[in-house]
Amino acid sequence: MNDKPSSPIRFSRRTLLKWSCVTAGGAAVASLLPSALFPISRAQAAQFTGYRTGAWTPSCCNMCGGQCGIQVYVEDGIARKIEPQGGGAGLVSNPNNIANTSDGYVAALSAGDTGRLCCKGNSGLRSLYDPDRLQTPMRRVGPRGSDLFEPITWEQAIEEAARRLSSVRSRYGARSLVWFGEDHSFTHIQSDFCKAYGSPNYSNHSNLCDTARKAIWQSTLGHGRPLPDMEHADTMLVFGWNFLSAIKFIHLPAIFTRARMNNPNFHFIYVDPVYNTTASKADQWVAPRPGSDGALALALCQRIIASGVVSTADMAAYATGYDEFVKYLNADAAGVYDYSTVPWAGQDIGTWASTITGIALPEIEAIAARLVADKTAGRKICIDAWSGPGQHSNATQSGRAIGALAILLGIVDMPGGLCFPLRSGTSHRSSAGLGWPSADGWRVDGRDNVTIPATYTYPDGTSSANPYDGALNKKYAYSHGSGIYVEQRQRMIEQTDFVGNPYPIKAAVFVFQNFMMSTPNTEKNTRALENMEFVLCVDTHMSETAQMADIVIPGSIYLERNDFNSNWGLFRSIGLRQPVVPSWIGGMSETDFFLHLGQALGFGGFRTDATTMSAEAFNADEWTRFVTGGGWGNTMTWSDIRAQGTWVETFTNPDGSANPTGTPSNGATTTPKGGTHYRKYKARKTFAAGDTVSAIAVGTQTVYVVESSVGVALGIGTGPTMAVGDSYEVGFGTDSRRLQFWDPRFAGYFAGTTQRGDRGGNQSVAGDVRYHPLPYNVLPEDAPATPGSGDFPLYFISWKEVEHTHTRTFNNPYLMEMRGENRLFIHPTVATPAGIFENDSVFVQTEYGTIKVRAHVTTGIQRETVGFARGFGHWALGSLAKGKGAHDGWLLPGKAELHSGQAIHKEVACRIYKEV
Amino acid sequence: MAQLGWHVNIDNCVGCRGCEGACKQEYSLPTGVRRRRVLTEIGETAGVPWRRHISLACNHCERPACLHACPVGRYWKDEATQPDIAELRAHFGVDAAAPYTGLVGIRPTVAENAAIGVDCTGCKRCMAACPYGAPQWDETNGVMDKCTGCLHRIHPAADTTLPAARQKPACVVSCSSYALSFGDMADVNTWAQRRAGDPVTVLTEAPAGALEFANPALTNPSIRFTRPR
Repeated sequence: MNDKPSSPIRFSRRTLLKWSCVTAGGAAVASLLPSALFPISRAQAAQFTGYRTGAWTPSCCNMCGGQCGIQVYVEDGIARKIEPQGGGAGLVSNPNNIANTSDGYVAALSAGDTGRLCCKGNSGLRSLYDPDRLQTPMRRVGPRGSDLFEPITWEQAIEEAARRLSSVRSRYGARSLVWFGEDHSFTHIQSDFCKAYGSPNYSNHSNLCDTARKAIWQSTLGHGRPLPDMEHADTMLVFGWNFLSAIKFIHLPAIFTRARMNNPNFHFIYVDPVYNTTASKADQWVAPRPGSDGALALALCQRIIASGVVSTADMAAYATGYDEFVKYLNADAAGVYDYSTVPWAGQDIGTWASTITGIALPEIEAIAARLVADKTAGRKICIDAWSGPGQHSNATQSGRAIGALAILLGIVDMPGGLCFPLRSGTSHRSSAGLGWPSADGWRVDGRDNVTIPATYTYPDGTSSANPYDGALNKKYAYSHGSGIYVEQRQRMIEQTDFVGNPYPIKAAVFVFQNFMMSTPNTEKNTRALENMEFVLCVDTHMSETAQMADIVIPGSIYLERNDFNSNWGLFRSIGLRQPVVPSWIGGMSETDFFLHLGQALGFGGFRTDATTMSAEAFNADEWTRFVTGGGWGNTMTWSDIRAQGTWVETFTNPDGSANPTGTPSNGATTTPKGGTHYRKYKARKTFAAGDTVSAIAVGTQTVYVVESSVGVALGIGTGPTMAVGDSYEVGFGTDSRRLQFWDPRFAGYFAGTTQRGDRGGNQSVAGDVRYHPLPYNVLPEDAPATPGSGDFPLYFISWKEVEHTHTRTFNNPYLMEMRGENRLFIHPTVATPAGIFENDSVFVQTEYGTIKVRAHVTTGIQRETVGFARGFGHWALGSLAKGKGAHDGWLLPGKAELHSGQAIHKEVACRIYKEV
Repeated sequence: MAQLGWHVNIDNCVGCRGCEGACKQEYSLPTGVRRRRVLTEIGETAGVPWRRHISLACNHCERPACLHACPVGRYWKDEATQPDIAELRAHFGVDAAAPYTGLVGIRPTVAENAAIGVDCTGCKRCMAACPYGAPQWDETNGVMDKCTGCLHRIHPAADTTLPAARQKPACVVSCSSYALSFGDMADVNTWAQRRAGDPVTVLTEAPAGALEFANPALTNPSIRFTRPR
């Protein structure tokens, strides 16, 4: 039966005997797993269900990155049930499970809402008690990738990892270590480790996910992570975000459904090549060719401007480049640049957009008409876009056109619109006094502007010349702190930095990242790892990446560890993750492991002894500093939050009285501070001594920006000069402190005054329309040359469904029972001529590789597109995962988006043919 | 006498399968036993696709086909006229004074309770009789299994750690989008979650190709629906 522990096939025969001596406490493998759980008899199940003798512990889920609140019932040391956090028993309802606005949160709780949890959250115990989990550290004993390992003790693993990391550093320098870490969880300790080691090359996973979305909204609205206020919206227009199935925050189905149920005006337009669950709840589903969302958005912008509903006063006060954008849409030659050669010159832009997107013009007109009518009637419009447009080569420019739509409709940080969150989290400890070195060298991946010396000196005194030295600009104009995995990988293959200087990379660490499958183009991932001297992988299972490692460390399941999760909402709240049971593998959490490893390497501030710096103490320290230093006017002690699970910001006492002096009050409340904070751009500041006013000229418009003495943009300047004491609005988080049709940062690149660091040094990108300061239409690079014909006539895309996350849920029996395979969606107009029927095996081929997958024939996909749910196709991980479904990474070019470094998962041209 | 049952708002359900997962873990169900199943139905009307999700478990029918089909009387209904009702309630820890629920449960095995226990023979007549696919063959344990309505949650012991707001079926506790609710069928219109004015009905007609729910007159299932708009 599937539920029995499988024998560990990964051991080579000669070490099997040794295995029985080296497990924790000398016990045999099977008894490490609470045998009461596998398999469970009907009687045992019946006995448990009393909820009588155990207790509930609040924590946060980590089956995906949503971090929803949970409470876990533990009886006799075994975790028995996971439920949504809330419903009484002294626990605060984690807002993540309820709403993203404070009045929505308060109203829902008043109506008796006790939260919710998706299938993944409900399946967590099967991940916790998965017998295929790594139960002991492992050391590679065969060639890399041969999957021959022997078990070793934790002490041996720490000693060897420390020795080998130290050896790599002593020969190649600390910069030769690259790091790939999961975010949301135990990030602080990981980035601390890299700093203490001396490597600048710490990266984490966001750039596989949504850094292009961040670039889109950062460029246009000045905030990389806006949130849709669905609950108060009348009309929603969403591009490429299957939020009802990909979900992430479980409040999303709730706020959407509350709006849909309670608002008679509610209308939802959904743009996505795939008819997914979110499309099924839409009033209008629009299926563009993948990567053509920007063209659709430009046409909508033109129609909205032509209708006269745009407030030109608001544009003048709060937007940069509106007049110029209008000229662009009108193919006007007399702008800052000549737009008379834009692709739609001489034709209606709507007709052009129809040609590019494959959407019939009446559908485009219907959307435009709806938006115009809504704006005229004063209805609240909410627009959003995520990784649909975001995981394409043209993501930033395409997405900026969607951003322009939001600006025109005036919905930014308004009720029912696209709003900026208030989010604060626990802060990193200070490194003062810990003796960490300066970073060795410079970041290898082009995320940052760097200064490169003429030579690099290795620890042994030898040196290598850097042909491209001096001040080198970053390669990615809107890079995100998480770095660029695709670029870091390419550096590992080429052993150079992003401009081409020799830069040995010899050690790689993967923490809770299945790099082999998650970074697009699996063959390149293999080549990158083959260049490494030392690979350390921390994961819960023997993943495809762990198989390629030298030392594998068993990771914790979230139910066994400490973290904090700062919730994304329009009011601040923080959820605590804490162990509900101790680790049954007898292991340590990631935080503990890195504290030990750092201690073995002699890092200051890493585990001096068990009592002063355990993982729990590390987190308790962060919490105490947050509460005492954050000025939130609340205190919630470490023991309070452990009991209640979630902190909600408030300046209102629980009895409803105001707390204006910030007298500490416990954060265990359901009355968030001051309601939902909209229109934050209207907050005012006062011009101070040392502040200056800078001017940005965009054609006939000049915008003034208040800047600090060190050039940080502070707010909207009232004129070319201002006096100390003058009041001004803070505006938006963009370079011009206004919403931006025109991006001054791109303007510098496009004009050639800002250069881009790339192979060979700083390069001019003057005239490259991918850097145009307006949201210039750019087509996806790796789309079919002629959709519907040629060698590779079809678009290949992939997406996420509710049952699975990344590549990690595929050994969970509950989730694999729900969705155990991915199917390739194919439109009947493609399938029928090819003789492909439902369930047939088909090959998908690109110029990079070929896979085989079973077909799902459906009208629910754009007719020149095929695609499937990603994450399947494992060849490792565990007994349930192996061999199920197909993996997309074999098909993909493996590129990063130009501006954000976002890994491009959804763009390659393919052909399909039936297996005969 | 109350008959507890379900309201399923098909219009609201997003197929998150939290209900399905909650039930799996509540009872530590092995692979193959799906007491609750979220059915995803897809189809096409005039070339336009549609998709809907329907969460179904056991409908705790007024006239349970399973109960009447079982040759050894393994199913029991929580009502006054059920033979051995006092002993059954005592065995499952339900206070004698707690109101009846009308939920259809499964007797303990003979080993678990010699007085009122019954062992499943594996004949599967219940599976054949049920119009809704509720009885599931549990290969691991060699018995038929089905949703029992979480009686232990609805009427828990006095010393339960379950908060009052959670004393309802595990599936309902997890629902993410106001799709699944539970209560007394007599006043379902007061607690069924739906947009104001949307009807609460038995499910008979369905879009072409969709689940055609059995004629409710057969067993009078304790379930109502709000259909997609």
